This record gives sequence, C-alpha cells and structure tokens, in this order.
Amino acid sequence: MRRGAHISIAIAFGLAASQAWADTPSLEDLSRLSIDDLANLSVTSVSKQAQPLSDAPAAIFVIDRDDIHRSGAVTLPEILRLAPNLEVAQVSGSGYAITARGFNGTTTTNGAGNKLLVLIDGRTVYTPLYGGVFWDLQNVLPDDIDRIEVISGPGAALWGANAVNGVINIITRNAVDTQGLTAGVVGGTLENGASVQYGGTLGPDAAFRVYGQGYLRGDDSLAMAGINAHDAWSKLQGGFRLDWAPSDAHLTVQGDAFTGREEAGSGMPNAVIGGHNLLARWSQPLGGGDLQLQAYYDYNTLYLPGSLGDAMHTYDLDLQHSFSWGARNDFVWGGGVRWVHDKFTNTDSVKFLPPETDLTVANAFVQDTIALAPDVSLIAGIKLEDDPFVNVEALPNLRIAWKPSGSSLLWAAVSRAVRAPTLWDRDLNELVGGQTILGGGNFQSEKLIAYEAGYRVQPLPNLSLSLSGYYNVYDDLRSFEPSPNQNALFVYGNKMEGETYGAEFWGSWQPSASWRLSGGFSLLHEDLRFKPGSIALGGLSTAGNDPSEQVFLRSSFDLPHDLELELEARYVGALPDPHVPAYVGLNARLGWHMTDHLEIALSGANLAGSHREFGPLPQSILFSPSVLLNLRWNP
Amino acid sequence: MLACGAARAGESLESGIKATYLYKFAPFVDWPAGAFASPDAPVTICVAGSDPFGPSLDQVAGRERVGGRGIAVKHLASVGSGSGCHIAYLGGSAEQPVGQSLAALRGQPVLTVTDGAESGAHGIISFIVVDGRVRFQIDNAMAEENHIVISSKLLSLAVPSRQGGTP
Repeated sequence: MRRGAHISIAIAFGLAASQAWADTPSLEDLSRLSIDDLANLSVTSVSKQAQPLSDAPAAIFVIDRDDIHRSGAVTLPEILRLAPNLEVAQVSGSGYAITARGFNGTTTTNGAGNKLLVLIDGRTVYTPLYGGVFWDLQNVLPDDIDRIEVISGPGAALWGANAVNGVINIITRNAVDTQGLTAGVVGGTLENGASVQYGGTLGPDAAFRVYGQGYLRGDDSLAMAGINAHDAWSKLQGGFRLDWAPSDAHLTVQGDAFTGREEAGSGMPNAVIGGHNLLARWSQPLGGGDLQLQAYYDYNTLYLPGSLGDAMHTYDLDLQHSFSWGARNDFVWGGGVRWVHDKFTNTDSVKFLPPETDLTVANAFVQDTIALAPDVSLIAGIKLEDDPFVNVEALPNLRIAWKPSGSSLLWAAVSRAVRAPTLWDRDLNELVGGQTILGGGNFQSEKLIAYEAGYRVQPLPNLSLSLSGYYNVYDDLRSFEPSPNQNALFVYGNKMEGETYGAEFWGSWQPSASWRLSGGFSLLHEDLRFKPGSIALGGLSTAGNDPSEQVFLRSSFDLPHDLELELEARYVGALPDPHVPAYVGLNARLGWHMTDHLEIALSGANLAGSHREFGPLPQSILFSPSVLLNLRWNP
Repeated sequence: MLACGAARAGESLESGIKATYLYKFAPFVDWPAGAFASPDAPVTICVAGSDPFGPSLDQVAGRERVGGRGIAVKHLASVGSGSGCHIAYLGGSAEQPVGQSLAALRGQPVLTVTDGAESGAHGIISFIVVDGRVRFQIDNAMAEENHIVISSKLLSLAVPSRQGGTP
C-alpha cells in the first residue's frame, strides 16, 4: 500500500529537497538564472554551514529537476539510470528490468523483478499481476517531474508489501509551477516524439495543466543474428492536473489516459496497450498536524490479438494523519484499502485460473519519531497488512539517526519486509500440449529481515558523500517444487533462502560554479541456496540476475553562451545467469538556451558502443548508439 | 525539528533570490511616460528600511541592462514621492514602517515590493515562500493605482493570491 507522496517522506525522515549547488550560490551565480529558474530554486536544503543534504535514516537518492533536464532522457526508465542505487537493464525497446539490491528480472525472462515498489504521485504502478512494473505503461513528461526519491532498502512499514528491496517515489510538480504553454519536439535515429502542455489558473486559488504527448521508438536488432528485433513501439498519452488551495487545505486532482502499440516480434501482430487513471488527494491541517486523504482509480490493459491479454482495474483509498505529541514525539498513522479486479484472457499455453478474480489489500500503520536527544532520533514503526492469499503480516521497522556534527549523519536500521503472493505466483498455469506443467500451489509470502547502516557527510561546503551498507536475510523465496497433486507437474513453492550484502556510495563535488562532478558505485554479493528437499529446478537464477558491481560518473558543465554539457558514464558488471558481459555505457547531452523561450539540445546514448543488457543471448536485443535532437519552446 | 534548521540555513539563499528578483522584474514592467528623466536614465531600485541584501546587490545589478537602461541601486532609510525610485523594496523600520512606506508611494509610478512575512501590508509584489521556493504574489489593482503595467509573463509566474487571511 502506498502512503502520501512527498509529505510522507518529509515527515518520516525530515527530508529536504535536493539542490543544484553544494554551497550557497552567489548573487553572480543567481544573475545568470532566468526568472523561471529563480522561481524553482529550492531554499530548503542549501547550507552555508555545511549541513548534510538530508537527515533521512535511509539510503535515499533524490533525482532532481536539474538532473533530469541535463540528462536529456525522455522516458522514466532512462531517467532512473541517474540513481546509483538502482539496477536498470533495458530488455527491449519497451521493456526494462529495474530493481534495487538484487533480484532483477521481468516476466519474459525469469519472472523476477518483483521486489520494488514504484509510485507516481501516490499511485502504485507495480502490477499485482506479477509484482513488477510494466514501464511502457507509465510515463510522465520530464518537465513535469519535481523530483524522484529512490530509496534502496525496505520501506515496508510505510509503504507496505512489495517495498522489499526499494521504493521509487515519482513526484510531479504542482500545477501552479507549470503555467503557460510549452511545446517540445524530439527526433533522432531511434526515438521521435512531440508534446504540448498548457497551464493556467482558475480563479485566485486554483491552477491546472493539461498535456498531450506522442512517442515513437524504432527497432533495435537482435544481438546474436544482427537482424531486426521487431521491438518498435508507439504511444499516445494525455492528462491533466488541478491544484486548488483555498486556505490551509490543498486538493489535487490528476488523471492520465494512454494508448499504444508494441511490436511483439517477427510475424506477430502488434500488442495493444491502454489505460487511464484518476486520482484525488486532499490535505489539510488537523489538530496541530496534517491530515491527508487520497483515492484513485487505475485501469490498465495489455492485449496480444489472438493470444493473451489482461485488463486490471484498481480502486484505492488511503488516509494518513501526522501530528506531534509533546516535545519529543512526531507520530504518523493511517491506513488504506485497495480493491483490484483482474480479467485475464487465457490461451492454450498460458492460463490464469480463475481468469477473472478480485483481490483486496488492507493495511494500517503507525510510526513514531522520537527525539531521544538533540542529535539523536529514533523512528519506530509498524504496518499490519492483509494481503490476498495470505494471513495478516506484521512489518515492523526501527531506525536510529545520530548527527555527531552539523555536517555528518550516522544511521542504522532493522526492518522486516514481505513480498506477498501475486496472481502469477498462485493462479498462473503453464501448459504444453494440454498438459499442465506449472499450476496451482500454495505459494506464501517471501520474507526479508534487513539490517542496514549508513553515513552521510559534507566534509567541504562543495563536497557531499553518502555511504550505505546492508545485510539482507531472505526466507521463503520462490522456487519450483513438484506438485503435491495430479493437477500439474510443478507448482511455485517457497524453498529458496539466502543472504545478500552490499554497499552503495555516491558523492557530489562542485569545484566551481559551472562544473559539478557526481559519481557513485554499488556492490552486491548474493548468497542464495535451495532449502533441503527442494528439487532446485531452474537453478538460483530464477530469483534474479544481477551484476556484482556498478560504477557511475557524471560531469555537468555550464559553458559560456548559455550552453550546458552533460557527460554520463556507467560501468555495469557482468550478469551471471543468463550470462551478459559487462559493459560501459556513455550518454552525452549538449544543450543550448537559445533564448528565454527556446532551448535546443543534442543528446546521444550508448555512445561507447553497442551492447546487450539483459536476457539470454538468443533473445537478447542489442542496444546501439543513437542520437536525439530536442527542441523545447515556451512562448 | 528539522524545519527550524532548514529555515535558518536557507536564509542567505532566500535573500539572494529576492535580491535577484528585484532587477529581474524590471524587463516585465512598464512604467508610465515621465517616470524616467531621460531615455538613458537608469532603472532605480530603492531598498528602504531593513536591508537584507547589502552592497553586493549594487555591484551585480549594476552590470545588468534593461531595455537599453542600466540599473542603479539606492539604500534609503525612508521613501516618498521624491525618492526617485522605479522599484522599491520596503523592508520597513521603526522610522518608517512598511504600511507608511506604501502610503507614501501610493499613486506614484513605483513598483512596490514587500516580504510576505509582513502580514497585512503588502506591495504590488510580495514575496512568499511556497514549497521551499521563493515565489511572489502580484496585486494588479495596486499596480493600476500606481500606473504600473505588469506583463502577462510575470503575472503567470506569480502564485495565485489568497483572498483574505495572511499570505
């Protein structure tokens, strides 16, 4: 279950928004900004006395508007490559395997990739069909994103089941901040698109925006044979956001609708995707604290003509209330309920039984932030969640944060998280020649106890560093087991377990007002095993396919004549099984603010050479260098 | 707990942003004929009363040009019709509180700017911090009183002002 978007993180962890400079900009620096940029500069996080970037006792990386703009990325998964605590692997033109701290996968590869919770403005976008995210169904105009909070580690006490290895919280800008007309066109060797957005006001207290966008991506080639991979796709999306703030209260209403086509391989008819959503969020002060109520409806459909299809309706209602009690305690409590109705179109080889089903999830949570001392705070929280197929789970978490000085923070945490069964785990039946190979079963939740710690420091005004480490103990991970009855050969069971441990590091250095260097690395060691009695079918790679190390380096320049240059390099270690060799990725972008109203940018992706990122060699798609020209006009 | 620290830490950036706004407003404002002594008279920004900006504003603003005019900055204890201001930031002081400064400039071709923190008395433009960002509200009725025309671009950047209550 979700919790309120940016308010929850701010209250729970006292997070301050990220910023463009590590030290306070001078009047000279500010004189170079346009009046629009001035209006968007955050004042809550820059410190002349070297305060840490954030007091959050968690491994949290914030992708801010400046990062997104300079990267030139036009889709969400490409924007997420900016987070050093995520694994982002492109599988096809429209498919990505994204996770944090291991267990990466997709439905078409190993059925994994189900341990990450992703939210857009409080709307959950991982699908209860298999627990992963269909990244082609979700897009937000990059200009409309305020920030993306990427938390690696369990966020179950706040966010619920599926927030096992991480939470990605995508927050869009208030309509008040996206006024006027903006039009953009992108064109290049692989991607083409256009978008238009208009924002206005409705009276003194309300603002809105409406947008439309189209996107078209061409084919890549297959790595093994060099022939056309037939993974092209296109999408049309439109939506709106309305913000009304009559006095102390705030109402947001937002919605999107989209339709698209995807090539499904050579000789196959195109897959059809579509959906729409509507969300309303009300917040107001209450009893010295804040009350937030949110409701949304989400509908998604994927359909392969003559073959399988899925239509899913989600209805969600959430409440949260935060308040202070005495001088030392800040409480947040709340709960929610979600009802999902799913209808699957079965084929001879893939069936969900029953094909039409209803799932209900309900949860209640409470969390207390206790100021033990002026520089030590303790956060204790618990969520009780009633998931489909299993009993009520308790998801407790305990975090402690110590600020030994104004510019450093030490934190540690222990949490319990759970990945509840999805329709894929319980209702999926795979048949060959009329014989059920996989089906039924009594799959239970996967469980995690996570021990984490971290250190965040700003040793110089223009240098900030963050290091975190974790030791995760997993139990009841999914495995294939012989079926206990004659209905199938195999079922999903819970006979895998193990430990993973690793570290994440990132830093940002601003040697001059016009040059910023940021970088990071993540290390992962997985030690999984089958439990005694398991038939170990498929091997440990059924749990996921992850690199042991990733390194990132990014250099951002402000050049004379209103130019900006961005260079992003990454090294992704080899994937074990199916084997994918290690590769180096290089993206670059040169942007030119021609006038206050027109911006042109030339960006290139995969400039270090063609490479595969995920999947077994026969199906693996090769991603080659591409360039993109981007024009953005706001009269 | 954190909110206090953040507010303290961000103060210098907040002042810097407000100072920068003062001269960045100029291209979006039309003064009536006669507001300038000559075609190359500078746009004069007056900082009256409590001054959070200091002399660095003079240096940086002095390098800017608006429609062929330079920018000059004056630091005054109090303002009135004879002060020669085109833009006036009213910091308020014991000598001349904000309300009195506003009254003294009513009907004068001056873009009055105040801080939203001062409840009640506000100028044509008043700064307000929203969501951790320095924004501003525009009172177009007051602008008309002072014969100032504000471009729609600046109006579109302004935060919708609340009717009644403190900003």
